[in-house]
Amino acid sequence: MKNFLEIKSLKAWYGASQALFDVNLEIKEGEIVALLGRNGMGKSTTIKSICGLINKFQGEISFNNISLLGMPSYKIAQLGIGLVPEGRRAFSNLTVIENLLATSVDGEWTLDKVFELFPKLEERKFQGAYSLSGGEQQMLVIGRALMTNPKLLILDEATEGLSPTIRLEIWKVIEVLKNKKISILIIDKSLKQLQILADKFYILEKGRTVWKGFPNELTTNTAQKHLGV
Amino acid sequence: MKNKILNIKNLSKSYGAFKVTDQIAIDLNFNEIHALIGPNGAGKSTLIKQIVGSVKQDRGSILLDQEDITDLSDVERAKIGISRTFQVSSIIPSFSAIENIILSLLNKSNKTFQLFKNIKDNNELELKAKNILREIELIENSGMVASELSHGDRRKLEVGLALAMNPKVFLFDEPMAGLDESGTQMMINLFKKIKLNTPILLIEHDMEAVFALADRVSVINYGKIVATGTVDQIRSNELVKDVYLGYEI
Repeated sequence: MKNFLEIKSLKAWYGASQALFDVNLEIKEGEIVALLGRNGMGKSTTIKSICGLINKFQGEISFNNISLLGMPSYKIAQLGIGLVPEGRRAFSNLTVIENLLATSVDGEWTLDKVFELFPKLEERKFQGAYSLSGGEQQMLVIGRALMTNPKLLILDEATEGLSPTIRLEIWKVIEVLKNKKISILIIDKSLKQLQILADKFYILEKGRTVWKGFPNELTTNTAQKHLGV
Repeated sequence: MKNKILNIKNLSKSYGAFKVTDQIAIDLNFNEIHALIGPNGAGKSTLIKQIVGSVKQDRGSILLDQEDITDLSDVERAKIGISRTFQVSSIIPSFSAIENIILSLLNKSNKTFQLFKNIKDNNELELKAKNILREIELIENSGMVASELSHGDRRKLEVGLALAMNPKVFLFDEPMAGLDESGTQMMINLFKKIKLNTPILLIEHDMEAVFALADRVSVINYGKIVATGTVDQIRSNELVKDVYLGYEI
């Protein structure tokens, strides 16, 4: 399988402070890759860099052999990268349906499919996103990303703030997406679920890739050393 | 009754025909962590908003330390000792971590205007703020602008703001969300320490944390409390398994 997304020697800055020093990562077509690390180690900054949301950077990021660095984020989205950002970012002034349709692209994922996945969203389809509960907003942003019918789906803490039963539903959805060979880059605190689903792990520490391997290669010592688990 | 710091009776709120909270009765004892769990959209955050006064109840009453606060505004309730955190952060992004804490400390002491003075001139305030930052393990990033903190660190700062208010009760709304394993453990240890002086009403989906912390657990579904009990009672309750816990636990 060829590399789908490739990150080489990525450095990134917020103003004067450097957040990434040497991030390297590869995702092949159809792979699920988990990006692990403690809080503040550069996971979300790496994702922001892929999505064109960081202004100061060095290194290389390519998607399907197209260089992404310097490309505006809307063009990166049009290439087929869908993002579920951390901290829920629904368009609060739009209704549920408007949120789902605003960035939709024709494909397998339709309104009906998303409502089948999240019946609560159908119940609230004409409500403003601002009036949804936290968990419902989380469902909405996952649905919105699916509606872009992405080739690469990026999930940044997508199960955060969800009840155990809904979380299990989300993991089932990720399994369905995996079976459909959609490439996924995922950040999540549930190591147990990631060990079941992910094909590869990358660990970041202080803005550097410090470990990569298969989930079954992650030893207790490595997990303790880099993740504090 | 004497050992109850917070006592909520028959609290209800509807938006049109939709009952968000329906005759909620829940209380909080001194030195207790009472966890409130339930499916997404069940009414947990709306209940918190009603307790702090940002959403006005249609019916019911709220007693804080035996004083009826039902008709007080949100600002008045905060001043007399109710402090909350938010699911989505309420920190000031352009302020540093320590400035955010200091603002909260000044707010508590009704001296918000002092923010315009150089904070270095107030050693006592700076010392208090640093102690709080140490408690939440954020001291190393105290000078960092909040918008540049990681998501997990912003969650810790949110708890720090609540600590600075030194309230009679804490209402924590998903404080573990976005925290890594060590952050969650730090928060568990911190809450165990806090509850010795100040009780906590805790909304949280991280069941390992809830089961490690809670003295009592109440379960809310469709705006109603459907069960209250100890951790063991709730874990073995079939209805709770069905509506909330599933088979993950």
